[in-house]
Amino acid sequence: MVKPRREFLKGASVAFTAAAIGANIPFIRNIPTGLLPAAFAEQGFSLDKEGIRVLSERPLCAETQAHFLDDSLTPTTRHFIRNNGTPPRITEASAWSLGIDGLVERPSRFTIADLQSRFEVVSKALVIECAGNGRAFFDPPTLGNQWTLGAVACSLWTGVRLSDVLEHCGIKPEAVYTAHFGTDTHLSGDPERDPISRGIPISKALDGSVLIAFEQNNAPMHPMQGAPLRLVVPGWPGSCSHKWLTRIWLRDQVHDGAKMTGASYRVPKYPVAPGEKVGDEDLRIIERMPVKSLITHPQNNFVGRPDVEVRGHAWSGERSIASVDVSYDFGSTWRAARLDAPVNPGAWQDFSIELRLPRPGYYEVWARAEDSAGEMQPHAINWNQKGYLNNAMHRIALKVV
Amino acid sequence: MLPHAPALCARILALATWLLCSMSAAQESAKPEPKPPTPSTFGVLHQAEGAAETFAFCTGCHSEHIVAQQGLTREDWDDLFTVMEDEHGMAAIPEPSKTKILDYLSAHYGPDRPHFPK
Repeated sequence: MVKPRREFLKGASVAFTAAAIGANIPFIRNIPTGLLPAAFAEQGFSLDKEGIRVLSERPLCAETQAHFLDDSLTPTTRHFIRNNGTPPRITEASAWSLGIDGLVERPSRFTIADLQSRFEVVSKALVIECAGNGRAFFDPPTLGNQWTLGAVACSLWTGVRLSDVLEHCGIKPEAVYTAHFGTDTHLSGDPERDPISRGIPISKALDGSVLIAFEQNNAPMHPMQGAPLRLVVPGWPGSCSHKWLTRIWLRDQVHDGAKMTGASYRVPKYPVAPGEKVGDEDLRIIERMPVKSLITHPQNNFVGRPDVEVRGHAWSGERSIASVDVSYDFGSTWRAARLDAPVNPGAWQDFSIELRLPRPGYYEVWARAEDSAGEMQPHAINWNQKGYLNNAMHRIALKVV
Repeated sequence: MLPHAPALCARILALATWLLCSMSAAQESAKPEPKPPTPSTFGVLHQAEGAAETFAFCTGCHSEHIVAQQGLTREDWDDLFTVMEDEHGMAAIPEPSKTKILDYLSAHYGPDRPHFPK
């Protein structure tokens, strides 16, 4: 077996570091060997390297370019990846189990086979979007991975309803929030720290939309998607959809795990000027994600003939899309696109429109979705200090020759 | 509208390709291991005074890509050290390294993003 490259690099880095700095590096001994867990290579998965942009190797964060998200159902190899820690090495499905504890009448542990046999198994196309999708366009810049457009996907997920499992365990009336735990480890290697542990209100957990999923696109899920078991909380920040899931704890307070507190996944309670920071007490936890759309065809900077089909998807957390309008004259006039119904609640909706551009020249095609509550995508970014919830209209450039 | 500089984008993609190739190399030991895309000594970090210390301290836990993506003021970088200590268990960076790193980050990874890896 070929020695993993990173192991070599790590050796070089440690040696270099010791010489150059003459100081201790925190947790240097705990640097995980190998960027990707063995499972990634062993199971023969790969990313579609043509469409994927890697933002960070450790933790692995990768997004998909818009024109590679054209499919109604996002292929497994084109689903964005947002890891917070080091993925687990052992992900054997037959040995995996999920514990439900805390404020339940019957604390329980289920193998994946238990879940499959005791609860109704459902398959649904579900949108997962990172709350920081679009952060790269914030000015002034905000801290975090600089996602552009592609930290969103809609794959087919198969699993059981979280509500069925929780109700089976008997929810005590004091329970107000879930707390999620998985087997990935903190980047520092410190076993006392969780890389991420978020939760959702009990009302959300019981609304029937949330899946405990064990398959993606009718096949084993990608190891970087949390195989063999993850949550899928459609229309809420992706960080709620806990990967490598092993435990759900029901609590009598808003969960205060890693990335639940401070400014994590929170936005100001009131509008702020770009660059203006507010204290933690003036932040609220992000719940549903806002109305948004993405043009997936043609590719940005397309050069071609005046007849062009524009395609894409539109979605809005916990809502459906009422209409998508398209403009090619910088917003002066708008045309209604054909809009498909969602295949199920929680899925994005495809839109398309045949444009005949009037004469050769440079055009921008803008798409603007409006959801079932009458909310529309804005032109500009509602700036906030952590760079969340950028649902400004997507624009692509077209040149007609 | 996309602020993507093709050259830097290509570099990230080259790195991704290399990673993916390394992974398939693990499966097919008969093939020669692909060569990495000749990164600088400090990965994607801009080569300048302080890059060595920045690379050394930050990449103990996370890759330098996450550093290079940011565009923060000196004050924000300083605050981030506190966050890393308080929330992620980083040991306090001793002087003079800390000042050197702060100088480097605020000069090369400020809000004007002179070295943003697009």
